[in-house]
Amino acid sequence: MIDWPHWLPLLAVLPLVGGVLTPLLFHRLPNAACFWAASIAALTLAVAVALLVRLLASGGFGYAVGGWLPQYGIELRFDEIGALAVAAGFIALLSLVFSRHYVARAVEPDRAPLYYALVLINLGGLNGFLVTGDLFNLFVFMEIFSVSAYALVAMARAPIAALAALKYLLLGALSSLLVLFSVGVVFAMTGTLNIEDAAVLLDASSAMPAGLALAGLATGFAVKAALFPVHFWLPDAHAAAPAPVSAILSALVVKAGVVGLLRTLELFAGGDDLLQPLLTLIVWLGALGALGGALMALVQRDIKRMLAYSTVANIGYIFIGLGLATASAVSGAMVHSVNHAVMKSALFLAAGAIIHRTGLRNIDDLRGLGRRMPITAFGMAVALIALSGVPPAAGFVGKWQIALGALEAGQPWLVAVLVVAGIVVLAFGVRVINALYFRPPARVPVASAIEVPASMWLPVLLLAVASLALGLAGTPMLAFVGPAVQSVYGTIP
Amino acid sequence: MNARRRTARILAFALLAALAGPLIHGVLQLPAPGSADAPAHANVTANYVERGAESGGAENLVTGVLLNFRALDTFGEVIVIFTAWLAAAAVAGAVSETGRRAIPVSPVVDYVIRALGPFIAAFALFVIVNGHVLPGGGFQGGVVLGAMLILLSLVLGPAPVAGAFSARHWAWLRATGVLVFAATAVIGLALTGHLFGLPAEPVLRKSLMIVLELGIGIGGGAVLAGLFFAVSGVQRS
Repeated sequence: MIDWPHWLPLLAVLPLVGGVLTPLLFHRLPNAACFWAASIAALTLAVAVALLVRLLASGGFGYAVGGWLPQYGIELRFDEIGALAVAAGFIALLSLVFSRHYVARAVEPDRAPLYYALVLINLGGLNGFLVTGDLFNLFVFMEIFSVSAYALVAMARAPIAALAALKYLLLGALSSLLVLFSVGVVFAMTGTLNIEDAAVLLDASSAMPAGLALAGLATGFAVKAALFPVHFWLPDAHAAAPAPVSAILSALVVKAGVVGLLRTLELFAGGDDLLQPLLTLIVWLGALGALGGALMALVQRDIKRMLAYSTVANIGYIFIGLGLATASAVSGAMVHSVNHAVMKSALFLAAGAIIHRTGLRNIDDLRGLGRRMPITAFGMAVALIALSGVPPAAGFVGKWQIALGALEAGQPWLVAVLVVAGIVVLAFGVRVINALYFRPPARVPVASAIEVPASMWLPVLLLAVASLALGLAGTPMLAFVGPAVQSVYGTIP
Repeated sequence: MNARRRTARILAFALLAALAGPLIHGVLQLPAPGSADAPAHANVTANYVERGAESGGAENLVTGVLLNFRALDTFGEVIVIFTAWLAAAAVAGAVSETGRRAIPVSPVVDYVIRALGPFIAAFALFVIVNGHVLPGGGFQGGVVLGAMLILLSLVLGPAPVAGAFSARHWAWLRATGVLVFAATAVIGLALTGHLFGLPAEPVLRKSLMIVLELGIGIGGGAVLAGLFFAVSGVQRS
């Protein structure tokens, strides 16, 4: 059953069709729509796990859609990078379970089925993006998860949400345009859209058209990933969106930008003269993003804005790792992409649970909540500690590897950047934990708050436990992404 | 304020010019369009041109590429179109009971548009079902269909056009493209052993392609009309 070849296209097609059917079957039935969406997400997760088992057993594999040879049709490929689909399925499923009570209040009831449809379509687009081996197909799936993400941000009731979504839409459309243009340039140079094929045919030594394509792809994906200085759409969008959407956006959708950049590097493998300046630039921008994001997070009063800026900081770490281009740094960046996804979705869901129960989002107002909402507060505290990189939690593995890579690459100043950013992250973590546990309540909603229902605290708790457990799984995860590092960068120290 | 706005404009223009320079320079270095040995015409495309009509199953090569060779892309595009409607419906303003009334237009315009309606619809159908031979197909025909519905909504007011079907039926019509495509993908799996595959038997393949084009056309037209209805407030979900 695991070897059934058609699981791979179903990874994307199943949630897409499930999403389109949601408003048709469950018009005005928000609870049934939620149950349906969660079931589809669970099935998708099962498909992703089956693919992962096959990958572990026999290495990467492909699927020829429609039975055409790779260059003539579209080829899907499942490799270690595509295995991020397991994390995507897991986080989407938990966010959907969390949504049942949250969305009942945050979104008008007769629009709730549209919300669930958009979440499923977003998941399908992400999965397709992760596993496609074709440049234009990459663009199509990027449009699917982007368009659904813009709409999901706008669905929050706050008036600011519409503005944030518009900003996200304009920046996102610009980045999509850059990617599409660059795909066109690559096609004009090689006459193929298959990534593996194009990587062979692309004359990466000719500076100009190839450099243009590389610059367009890198800029486009950097906007999607919210790399400094093109991150400025992110804090508004991620803070304004409904909390489960913030979890999906911060955990998964920005990581698609990272994966897009990895696919781009794969395309230009061998063109060292072009790649080297880009990698150096990425290290610098990553360092600025890590420091700036952490500092901006520290001065926020709104808890979701704080978490959003922390995402900018973590994307900074990941890009430092990708830019250093040593085996330990790149594998660290890949592992951190997954670990950050788990930790940040735990945090956004916990913040959502608190906002759902108390209506408060200012950190100082959350004083004393640890006693009133023990499980949610515990989940948030654990995920915050994990995020700050205290060993052996999940945040530690990636940062340690990236620091090792910095030393290997002879850039010890980056270790200082990582340490300073880590201390700042710990500082805002301590600030929240202090408010939750060690201060008396100052606000009435806190004093009368009770724990949220199990469908909300269970996802938080599971993700918080996972952010501890993934730290212990550091070594096998690093070994797992090893082949992907080699296939993207070639043989590197 | 005015001086400031002017400075901002000049800066924006300078930035655009600075960006346009390298873009134009880069594009000029690309292989000349139309030259026979350009990679874009030589590599995969040459094979499409040589054998595409036969193996793709459509005399119009573009249709063969869209529905057969690169069916997954087209499926994705149909999803994007549907998602656009979902997005509009999710964020559009509250539903008004009656919808906006028709803006009075001159009787000549009114008469001409009503009289043209059936012809536009027939042309849309022609474009859709002939997509495998002539330029056109589901997307183009769907746009013609949608344009006709919007034109009629402008003249008659959106409410009577939206009222042609119940909200539920409109919802299924909008999803036609996606659902027909998904069904064809599964039929392809049963017949060829590959998801999104089309059988090699010519009559069966042609019929499946026409059904696909019809689905895309009807779905696209309904989504376009749905976008108009959502914005004008007659119908949401």
